[in-house]
Amino acid sequence: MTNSIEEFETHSKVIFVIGSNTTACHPLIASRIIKAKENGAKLIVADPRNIQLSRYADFTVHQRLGSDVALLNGMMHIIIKNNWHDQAYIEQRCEDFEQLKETLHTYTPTMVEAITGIAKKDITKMAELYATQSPAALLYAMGITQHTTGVDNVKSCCNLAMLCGNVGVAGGGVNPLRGQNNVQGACDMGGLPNVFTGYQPVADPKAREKFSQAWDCELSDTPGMTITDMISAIEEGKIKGLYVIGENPKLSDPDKNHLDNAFKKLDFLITEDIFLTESAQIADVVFASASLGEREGTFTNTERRCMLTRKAVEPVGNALPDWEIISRFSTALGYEMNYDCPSDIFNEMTSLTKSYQGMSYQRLGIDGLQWPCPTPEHPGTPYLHKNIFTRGKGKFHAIDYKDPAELTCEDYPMLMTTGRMFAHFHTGTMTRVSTSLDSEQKTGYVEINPKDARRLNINTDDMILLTSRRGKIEAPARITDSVPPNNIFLPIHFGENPTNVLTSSTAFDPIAKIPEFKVGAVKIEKLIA
Amino acid sequence: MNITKQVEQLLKQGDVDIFLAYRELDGHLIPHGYTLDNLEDLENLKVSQHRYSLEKVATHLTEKKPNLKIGIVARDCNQRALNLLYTWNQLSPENITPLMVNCCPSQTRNHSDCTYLEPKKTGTFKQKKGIDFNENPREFMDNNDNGQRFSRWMYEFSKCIKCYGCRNICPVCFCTDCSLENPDLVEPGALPPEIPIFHLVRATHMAGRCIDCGLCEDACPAEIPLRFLYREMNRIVSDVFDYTPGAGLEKSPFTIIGNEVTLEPRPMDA
Amino acid sequence: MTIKRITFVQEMLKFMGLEGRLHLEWISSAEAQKFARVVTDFTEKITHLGPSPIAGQTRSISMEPHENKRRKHEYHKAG
Ligand code: SF4
Ligand code: SF4
Ligand code: SF4
Repeated sequence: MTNSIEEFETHSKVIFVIGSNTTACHPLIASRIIKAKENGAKLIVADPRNIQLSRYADFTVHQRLGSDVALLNGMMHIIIKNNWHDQAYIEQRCEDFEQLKETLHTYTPTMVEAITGIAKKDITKMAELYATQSPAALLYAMGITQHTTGVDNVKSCCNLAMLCGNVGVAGGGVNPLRGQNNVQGACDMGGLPNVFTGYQPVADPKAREKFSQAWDCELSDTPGMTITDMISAIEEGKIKGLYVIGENPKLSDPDKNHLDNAFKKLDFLITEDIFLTESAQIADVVFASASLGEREGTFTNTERRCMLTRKAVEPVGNALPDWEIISRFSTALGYEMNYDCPSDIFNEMTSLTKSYQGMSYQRLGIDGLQWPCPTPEHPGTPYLHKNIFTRGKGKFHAIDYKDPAELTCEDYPMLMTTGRMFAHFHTGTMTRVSTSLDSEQKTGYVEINPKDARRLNINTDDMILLTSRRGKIEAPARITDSVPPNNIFLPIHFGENPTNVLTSSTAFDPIAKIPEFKVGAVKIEKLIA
Repeated sequence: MNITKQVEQLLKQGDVDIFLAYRELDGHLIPHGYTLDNLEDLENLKVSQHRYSLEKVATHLTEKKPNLKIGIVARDCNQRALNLLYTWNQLSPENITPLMVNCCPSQTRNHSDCTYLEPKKTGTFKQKKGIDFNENPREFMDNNDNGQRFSRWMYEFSKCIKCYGCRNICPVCFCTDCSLENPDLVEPGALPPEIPIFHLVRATHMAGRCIDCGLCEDACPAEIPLRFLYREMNRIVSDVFDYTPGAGLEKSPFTIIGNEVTLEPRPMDA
Repeated sequence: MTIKRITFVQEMLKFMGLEGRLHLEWISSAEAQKFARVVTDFTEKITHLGPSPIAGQTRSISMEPHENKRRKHEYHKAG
């Protein structure tokens, strides 16, 4: 997030939520949005589904699955046409505006209506609401990113925010709501194939030199692989061993059948998790790691806030904190890692990472600190790009709309989208073992619009067979107008109804490699009992 | 004698096996059980405006060890909760030693230092569509007709994220099988939970039970005016049954058959 | 006791904006006519009040919180 969660309540005049079922996936942020709304902020919600948050919106639209770029371009087209954009801000702080303008030219309300299914007048109203009051915060989640055009979608969000001078101000910004408590932290720590901590590229000789010295070893200058690449590399025999930490690819990666085949080709699989996940069940070696409350460390949350977590109890059985497992593993492989405690590691990291340099366990205290925090006196940074963008000028990206990888056809006439429900988290590794949460939702299900249900003669809880180009799964039906006609929704948490049997592993964003979990073509049939 | 000394004495004399209070840890005030084994923790014992339903912890401990002697730092609201828990046989007074501390203004004390007293702000949209925290139930009834009342409550309930925070913090919600988790009463798996049923089930249960500590409303992330609701429930209970939960050791009128009634059934008005 | 309890529920429903949907009457097995009258009157009254605003507001149906009656949700008004 460029901005802080608190600012939605304290500063934002408009909050625009796109591609996020906030009450189910980020309930506490949703409560803040509702509070902001109750205190007078305007709320716009754009989501293909009819989500809980839209009840409070001043304006709600349901764009067709995968049509976000067209929608955002359409809004910008209208904003420019009506002169609602912030010309001074653009001139002073941004570049490549002309190219953007050029591209937007064709995104007339008529064309956008045809792609998104949103009425012309609604697009105009929405653009007006967003552009004529500031600051306006834009929030998005996986509904924007899990597409073949994920990066395009994100850039379009940035375009819109910059166009109205909303980046670099309190209560504005472009705010991806991250899926886990520490996904921001994991990325910050270099948990990506091409960077060291703090996004220092491995290809940068200076960064490499710095880390080589600190770690006293040679470091490769070639980026590693993304998960998407790894699976094909396993298939091709280029990867023989896999070490999976805190992930459950058997459920979280697309095209399960394909993935299962790849996993069979592995010579050796290690998993490290707090529970015996679907993936751990097929592993050669499982490292049991300590859970939250059994270990000390830091998390960096969605608003870039690094916070301390403390140990309350000793780990169960012979489980160890992840840092200790990794240190021992590395030492066994011949590179000795000797740390006495997590703060040693934290201090090493801060000494090598500018944005964290001013932090220490002592300073983190109760509330933590938001990076960048370069010096021990620095109070942390509630919002980014104040006065100047990190890269200098804010770059507009002229982006054209592209169809999702799969559209409906005769054989697969319905569009499927996947997501979460409030009671479970990701692949359910942690939540499905909780009795209260399990009683909330025990199995997967498929949401179908009443119109389709009537057409196909489907009742609530009837078993439905879903078929995509990759495979088939069964799930009970739930009839609801929270999905539009001709669309179905599947929650991703349930191993018995694995949605990733249906999703494609070849449809992913060319840059971010994120799979298109949000759009796929399927066929549905009622199973006769 | 200051409270730390008192607790130490209670433990050392064997008057209590465990004393429930707050402990300051890294700047947080957290509920803590002081025992003879951790006397050194006593130096971090703090009383502040923070509140937690310690009596709920006591109930859980008693469930495991019925004869455990428990000391507890108590404000007026804790005392009311304890009274209520005695009448429902969840705790027995002979095993509980409350140490009273400063509290909300009452007949006997006028010092106040509790979160319960923080004035609440109601935003303009909430005032328009929902319920103003500062309104009183009488005004609410007078200012809104039947339909408006319904829509205002539905607005408030629709914000619920089914976190169960209200039930979990509530000192007098002690049922092993909670009706809110009964699929026949409240359909699981939905967000918001089935409304208004979810909230009305709880509201009915709080009638004759809620001791008005306000913790549920403090806990509710959706800012649903829960205390406002349960207060009105208990206003009715007090009118109809002449009973105030937690005021003494009298049993809830809902648990007894009762004796002769003078009330007449209401006429059906068109 | 029944009467007290019912009075409580009546008051509660009133507070919730669901007034008039609960009625208590004592009718003995010998009072067939009274029974018929009460049931007819109450049926009439309920019909007059219209369907309960909560009916059908389960997870499968979305609702408009600010209005008393259910509004059907529409997608893709355009195109
Ligand atoms: S005010 Fe809320 S938390 Fe306190 S007793 Fe009543 S219902 Fe329970
Ligand atoms: S909500 Fe009702 S059933 Fe559930 S714990 Fe509270 S009193 Fe018991
Ligand atoms: S605390 Fe509030 S949001 Fe949570 S379940 Fe209770 S009423 Fe719902």
